[in-house]
Amino acid sequence: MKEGLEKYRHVLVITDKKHEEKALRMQRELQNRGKSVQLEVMASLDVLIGKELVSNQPIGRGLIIFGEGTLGIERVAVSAGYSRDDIFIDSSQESRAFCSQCHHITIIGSDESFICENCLQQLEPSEHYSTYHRASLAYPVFKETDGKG
Amino acid sequence: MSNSSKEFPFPFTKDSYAYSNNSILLDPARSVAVSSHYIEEVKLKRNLLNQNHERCFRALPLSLEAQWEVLLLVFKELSTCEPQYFTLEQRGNAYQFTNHLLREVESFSFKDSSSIEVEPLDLAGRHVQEDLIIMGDRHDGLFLEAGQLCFPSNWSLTFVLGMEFKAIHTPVPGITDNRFIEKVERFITRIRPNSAWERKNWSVTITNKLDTPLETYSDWGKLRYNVTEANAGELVNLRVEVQRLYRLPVTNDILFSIHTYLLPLNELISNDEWLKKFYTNVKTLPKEIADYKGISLYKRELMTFLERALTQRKIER
Amino acid sequence: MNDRYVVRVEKMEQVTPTIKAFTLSSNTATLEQFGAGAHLTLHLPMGNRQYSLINNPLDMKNEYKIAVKNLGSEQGGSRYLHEQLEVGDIIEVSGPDNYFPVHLEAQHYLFFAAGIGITPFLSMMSYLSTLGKTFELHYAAPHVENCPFHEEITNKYSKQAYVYLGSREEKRKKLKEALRNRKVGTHVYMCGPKSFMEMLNDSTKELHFPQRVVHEERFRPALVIRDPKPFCVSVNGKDLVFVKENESLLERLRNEGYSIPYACRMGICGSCEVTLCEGEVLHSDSFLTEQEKKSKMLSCVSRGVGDIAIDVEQDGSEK
Ligand code: HEM
Ligand code: FES
Ligand SMILES: [Zn+2]
Repeated sequence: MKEGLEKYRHVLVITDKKHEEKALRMQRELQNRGKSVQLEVMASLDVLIGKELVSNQPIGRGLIIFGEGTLGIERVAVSAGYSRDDIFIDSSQESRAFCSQCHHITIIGSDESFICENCLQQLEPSEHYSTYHRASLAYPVFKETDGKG
Repeated sequence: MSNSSKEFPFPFTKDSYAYSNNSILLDPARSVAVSSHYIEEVKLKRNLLNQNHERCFRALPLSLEAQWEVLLLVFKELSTCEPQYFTLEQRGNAYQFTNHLLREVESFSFKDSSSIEVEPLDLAGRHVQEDLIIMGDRHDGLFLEAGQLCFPSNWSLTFVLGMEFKAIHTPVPGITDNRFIEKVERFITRIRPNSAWERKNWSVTITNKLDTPLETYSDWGKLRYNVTEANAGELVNLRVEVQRLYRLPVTNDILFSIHTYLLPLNELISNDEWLKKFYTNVKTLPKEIADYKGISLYKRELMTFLERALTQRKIER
Repeated sequence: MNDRYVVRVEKMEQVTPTIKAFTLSSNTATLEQFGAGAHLTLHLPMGNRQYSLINNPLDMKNEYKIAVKNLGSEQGGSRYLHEQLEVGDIIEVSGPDNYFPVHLEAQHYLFFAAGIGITPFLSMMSYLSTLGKTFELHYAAPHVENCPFHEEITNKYSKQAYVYLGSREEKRKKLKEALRNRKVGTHVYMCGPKSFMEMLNDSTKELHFPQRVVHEERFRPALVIRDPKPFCVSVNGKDLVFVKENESLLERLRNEGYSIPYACRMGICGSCEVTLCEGEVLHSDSFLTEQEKKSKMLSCVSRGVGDIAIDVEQDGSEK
């Protein structure tokens, strides 16, 4: 079970259809530990429906989100008054890299340098991670020709 | 001595440099300052804002109350502390701020967003040289909720928006050693209403460019390769940020202001004391801090330049 | 923040038989802004007393308003204010400071007050009303005559205010009931006597409220050491250092060659922390938590009582 979930007695799990399997597994695991779980499955994650759901939760609940595009629901949850560490995101999500030159977010498969889809800069992801963007900052890599030698 | 030298907030007090909480309490509490470069820098800020608004201004909706508080705080402070340059008149809820240096008048109704064309923090920032950041003091931490940032030293406002204080500092080497940044955060949360603390941070910039955002790093970053022993005096600038932390009394949030000063080395070395201190501090700078500040690339050239100046001025190393 | 300054008593109103409200102002100075939940410190002949400001922070016309309950004790500050003070008198004050700030990220506020504990909520309620935010007040008092601002509150906040009179048991039941079935985003603020706070704190725990949304006054003001005494310190289990009455531990250690970092020298930044190994310490900082005070001390302000033993970092790194 995810670290930090131990303290909640009730948990709301939101998932898109594609990740339902995973969410169900999480639900069973939590239930085995004596927690009550409300599971909500949407065709795809929808901010308006998500907002309705999260803002009407009783106080003190944990929130787990699975699926593509968790960020929208995460932000409405923070606006609805969740503490940021009451929100848990599926950790197996793909890595997102925030281009420091043009702000575009590229989905990357590894920690190696990559080309920004938008501005075509060669970038290198870093440890600097934003939970607000759910992305790590990618710095430009200078090409050899930029050097003076 | 030039105005730049006279006003320059020389940052080094010791012979070696390490990160520390070097904040001092300001009496009276101030959030901004007006220097002799006011007009050119404010104009530069406005150009940057007009051309790259998304890069230079960001705000979350929750910051709106604090933004209004900052607007009034800054205008009141300017008119009280620099009455020859600024005046503020109030009639009920209606305010009129006059900037005599720029011959401009801003009229607005307090907390009426329809009475101004930009967000309140954006308006306040267009009348000061400082970058202005609002840190929201929330039940789950200290978060960057709004900022007008034109002159950052290699960081991105868009990236750090919505981030927590400690997380913002991740790239700084050794910042979590001995719980340093945690202690700083606690210090900030204990700052009392209406009081302000000031600290200096320093770095080195190639050319006298104030706007060195991470977003344009690929343009200005490569200038670091151009430094030679011969041109260092002209090209290399000591860059000092005077940072102030001000507790907003009404919203209980923190205003973080950054006033950036640049001094070309040719001017710096005309002051023996400064030359010697700068030299010893850079010389003994831990490698990871030198890397972080971007000095390592030209440190050898810089050291040779400073050593020659020391010799010329017959100063012992 | 102003250190110390004087204000004039403009107005006094009898609120209940035992409670008076005072309006303080100045003809010469601009009084500083304050936030909901803030308090003012009054410097009275018998010592310092803190009182919550009760006016609306967004409608502050160069005056501070406080309400004081006469606790009746012979040497008491409240009795002095009730019986000695007159309109036109000058008193010395400092602040305002705020240990009980309102968190604007909350979606809904639950205020719990007992008796004179109502005062911080007066500024909070008028502030939040101006901002158009929702709140409820749950207010317990022995009976109507002893319920400060009862009329004002029930008039102004008829929809938001719940007043509990009746028996102790009944009140407890109702207050607990008020905490039930709350949604995420609710923040709880409480002010009143110790037993009242304990009861509410227990209930919020039973109901699994995250403790970070449960607020009482945050930090006690730091203890000021009035007549500092010399003390003896064993450092890193070897050196013995003697701290005189007119110097701080920090000064002495630095003079002895320990490169302890420091910044504020006021006990608020935590830079000058040292490890406490043994002995009793008068903590005078507003930085360390109660738990931390057991094993740490801030050398700029806190002092040993008699002999103490400490450890300090040897490498002198100031990170
Ligand atoms: C509350 C407002 C503050 C904000 C928004 C802020 C933000 C930042 C940012 C964005 C950076 C650059 C990080 C990067 O490279 O991406 C930075 C660097 C740093 N900050 Fe802060 N900071 C604040 C307050 C402080 C305070 C009060 C201290 C210390 C007492 C501090 C210590 C440092 C240090 C040591 C660095 C590295 C600077 C260098 O070596 O050039 N910061 N800060
Ligand atoms: S120097 Fe700041 S707490 Fe001691
Ligand atoms: Zn890009």
